Amino acid sequence: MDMLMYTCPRCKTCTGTMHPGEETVESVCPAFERYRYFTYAGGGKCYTAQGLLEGALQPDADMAEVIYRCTLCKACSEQCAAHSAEPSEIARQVRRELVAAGFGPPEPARGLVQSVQRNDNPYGAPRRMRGRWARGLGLKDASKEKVKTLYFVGCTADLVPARNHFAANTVKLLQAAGEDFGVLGENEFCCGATVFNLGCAEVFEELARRNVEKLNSLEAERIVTSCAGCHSVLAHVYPEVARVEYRVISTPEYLEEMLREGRLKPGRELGLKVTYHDPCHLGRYGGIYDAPRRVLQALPGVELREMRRTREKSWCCGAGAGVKTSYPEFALWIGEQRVREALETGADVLVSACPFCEGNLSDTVAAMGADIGVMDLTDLVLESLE
Amino acid sequence: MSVMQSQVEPRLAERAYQELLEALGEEKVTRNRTILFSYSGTALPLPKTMPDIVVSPRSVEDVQVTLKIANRLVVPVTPIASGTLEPSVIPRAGGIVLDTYAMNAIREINADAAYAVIEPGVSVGKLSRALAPYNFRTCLGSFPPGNSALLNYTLRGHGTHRSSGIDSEILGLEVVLPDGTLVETGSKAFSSRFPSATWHSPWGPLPDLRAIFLNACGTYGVITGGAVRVYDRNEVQTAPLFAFDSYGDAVRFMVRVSRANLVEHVVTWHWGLVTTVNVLAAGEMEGSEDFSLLFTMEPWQKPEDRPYNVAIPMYTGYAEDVEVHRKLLEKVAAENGGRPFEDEARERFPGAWHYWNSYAVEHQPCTAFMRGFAVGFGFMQILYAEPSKVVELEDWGLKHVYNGGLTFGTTYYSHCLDQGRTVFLRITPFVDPVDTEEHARAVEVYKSYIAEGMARYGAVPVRYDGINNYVEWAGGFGKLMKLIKQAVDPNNILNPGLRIYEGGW
Repeated sequence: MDMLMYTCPRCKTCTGTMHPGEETVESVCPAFERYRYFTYAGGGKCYTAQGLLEGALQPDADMAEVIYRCTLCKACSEQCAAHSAEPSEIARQVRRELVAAGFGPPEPARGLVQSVQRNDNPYGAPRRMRGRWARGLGLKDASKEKVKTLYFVGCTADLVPARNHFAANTVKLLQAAGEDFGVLGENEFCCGATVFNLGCAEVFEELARRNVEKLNSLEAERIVTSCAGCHSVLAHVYPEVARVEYRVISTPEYLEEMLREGRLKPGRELGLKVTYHDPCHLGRYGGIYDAPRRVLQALPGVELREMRRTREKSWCCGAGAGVKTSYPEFALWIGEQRVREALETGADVLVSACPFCEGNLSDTVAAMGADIGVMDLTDLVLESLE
Repeated sequence: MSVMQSQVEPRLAERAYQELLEALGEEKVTRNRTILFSYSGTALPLPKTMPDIVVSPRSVEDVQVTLKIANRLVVPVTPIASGTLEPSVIPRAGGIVLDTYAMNAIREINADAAYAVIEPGVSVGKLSRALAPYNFRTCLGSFPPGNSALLNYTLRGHGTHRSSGIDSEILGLEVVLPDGTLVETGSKAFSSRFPSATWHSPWGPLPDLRAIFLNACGTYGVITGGAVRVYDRNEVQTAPLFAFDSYGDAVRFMVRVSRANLVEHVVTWHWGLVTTVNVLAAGEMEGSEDFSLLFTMEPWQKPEDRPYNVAIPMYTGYAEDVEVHRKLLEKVAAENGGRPFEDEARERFPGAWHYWNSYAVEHQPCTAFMRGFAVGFGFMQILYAEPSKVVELEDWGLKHVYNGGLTFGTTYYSHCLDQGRTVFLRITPFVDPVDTEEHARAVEVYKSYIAEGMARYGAVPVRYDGINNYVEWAGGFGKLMKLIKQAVDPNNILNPGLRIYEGGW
């Protein structure tokens, strides 16, 4: 990692997609686009890390102010001309230094961390609130009986009422596909994505070990996640903390598989023009770009219209890595850029596959009074089932 | 890496900050220490200096306001944009860093007269994209897509890739002087009296003062816009490759094809650079046998399995014309001991071939060699010398740099300029980015390379570096530079670390 900090030639290619043979878009970095100082760009984070490493900078409030305005969307790492610098990971490590020195996370986000420690979720909800949305549905308790597939609901779909439809939809789709599945209910813990991205390494690692132990013990063949953040840490970060014995797939991948195998049969014409927003933690962190598009293309009467910035070049929704909580106006500013781009496509609906993205994009649409719907992929699949 | 403190008195810096804040607002002015640090140096392993303030202007008026305040208070200003590898953008005296990258409008694409009017924050990638619908392309240096097009063209050594390398991609410049005066050069100079004036000509009835601001690193004024030449994408764009077993043969080939008008531009690469870019483009540096050649072979030796130099002649035109040119290039190559290398290069050096294709054929910015940056690439100064002298310089220079006790390999590339009246040679070592002792050795090798290159071979360095005091070495010319500087910038606030003028800052 040390050497990676020194590979930045300050060319600012990390801030926009300008690679040969690809369509150039001016900006993929929300923080740089908004604040314009190099320090906010991926390359600037490498320089900040150099400063820390060399002792020229000490963790302080100034550093926190810059580093925590990054959504860790990973667009800079994707675009880096040096192809070896990982500014997102470097920024995460700088956050750890800030936390260790008492300057992180930002005050508004500290409540999230405390809640994860107290309640196993970042929303301040008592543990008993977990799984309320599922009451009366007769779902299997995966911690008590063996199931083929564990549905890992995630805190947002579970505990945020406006996002409960992710969970309800997913359950209906699992049932429609005839899946042998269960949920953990009150025994599901926060995945830790929030504390991981805020730089609270110790809190995260304890949580990760506990979760890995639990998930390994279930003997489920696979885990389906609703939330891009959950998917990212379960699939890519936990294996760095402990040995994992499970396989994770995201909802879009699961739905694609069910449609391909004919276990879900969409038949109803929806008559919608849609555009798809790639969640950073599915796309750039997970490489999952094609599955959600194949799902949309399989739905009768759905026309997919791509935004200018898609896939690896996708513009972040603005919610991630504590930005929504710490800097809500900035999160809405980022969302507004995305919604404007969606409106340019003439789409009726802006579709995503992450409750976090949906939350910020919905808030943005409401704030703008924009004439476009915001839906989850599962909403559309469910509507289209015969 | 040492970080020097600003030389500006804290009370003065505070006053400048408060005035700038009041004039421009907190969005455009900062003294956040983390932000200051990221403007304290470049990617090169040279000492950094903390500025006191960073300003991010969004308009010409913002630049004027900033300079008026700085000039009145006598606070140094170092203007920068992007692609800030150059030592010239280190704010050696502290003060204000004026980051013009947020000024990023393409003001005009003039399809009739083939130029674009751009602000300093317009990147090469952005300009290339905007030109595509007009079937135009930029003149490319070997810089990546995020770099500022305008400010890279103002650096000597870049923008050498048309008209057989005559270094003149800038048609005209819009510049703010320290007292806030707005200057436009060339045909545009008359726009205040004749609003119909445009940028089409760099010349007019008055002296060509554009040159004061070229390669000047903001020492005479802050560039806020300018017109750059753009070029038609012709029916066929081509860059056949030729292999040579000596640099001398490659230089003779380059000079002959330039003088015979067979190329728009021609460059030759040392085998070490071919090998490096090939490996970097493939992303296979670790454990690469090819890459290890750079550490195990003396650079003036030729590996058995590859040519010593690969020349890349660039030409565009109608298909029939290009075909004839190709045959003539083959003839001239054979006369100078060369052979066609294109098919072999595509097969054996696909990474390097990809780079050549992007840069020399498609004329698109390419990132293939970027990992070489920040490990010393570009650390050695470009020298220009006459053709026969540059061949001697290569032979001596490679040994001098290689034997300078630096960790990594040494290689080069070389452009033929102005029909071979002068030849560009950039020998560069790779320096360990975290070894401070090696940095000190590299600076000593740098200094002796420049001094001896000038003394022995009549070579001339082509950029300011803030390491050698070229103004003092330049006799009457240096005196004239000082007089102009004294008149334009009496307080020496503009990039005073480059030491054009010792008064004021």
